[in-house]
Amino acid sequence: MDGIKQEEALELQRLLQERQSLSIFEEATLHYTSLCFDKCIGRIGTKLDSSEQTCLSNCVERFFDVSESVLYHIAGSADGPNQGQEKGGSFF
Amino acid sequence: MADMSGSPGANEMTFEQIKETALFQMQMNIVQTLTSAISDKCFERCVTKPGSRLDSSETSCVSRCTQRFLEARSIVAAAYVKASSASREFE
Repeated sequence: MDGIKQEEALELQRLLQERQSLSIFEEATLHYTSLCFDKCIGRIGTKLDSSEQTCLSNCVERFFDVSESVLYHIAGSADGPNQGQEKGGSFF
Repeated sequence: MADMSGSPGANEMTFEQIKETALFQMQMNIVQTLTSAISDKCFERCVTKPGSRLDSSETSCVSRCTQRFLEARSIVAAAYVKASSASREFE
């Protein structure tokens, strides 16, 4: 190929980076949708009723709360060898 | 070799083609990922005992399931954006 100009290469790179962020967002969204679909939707009907819709929103928020909580607990376990032992084993 | 960089022509068309191809590929990837996720879920929900073909209740279920999943995805996406921006320190 006769050489892409630098501006073009930069534009392509920006596009790919943008796509990568979108991709991460898309993957996470699908993951949460899959989890929350099971928790919130029992019988598959002809529309989502308001309690199902509320459940879906809540589900995402609660998942974030759980992640935060898990991180907190993991951080606690990694405080040092003694603390690690007390909490039932070192982190590493 | 003649310097083509100043003129609209081979280089710009080639770059545009690359960009178009890349964008098309990205679109296809989204469709593929989405199809896969929804198929997993709706297979799980709609096909309890795989027979020799999909019966009418199964195909109806898959149709509804796909719609409900897409609607659920919209709600989840909005909640995700809201929840992740709420957790940022600098706001």
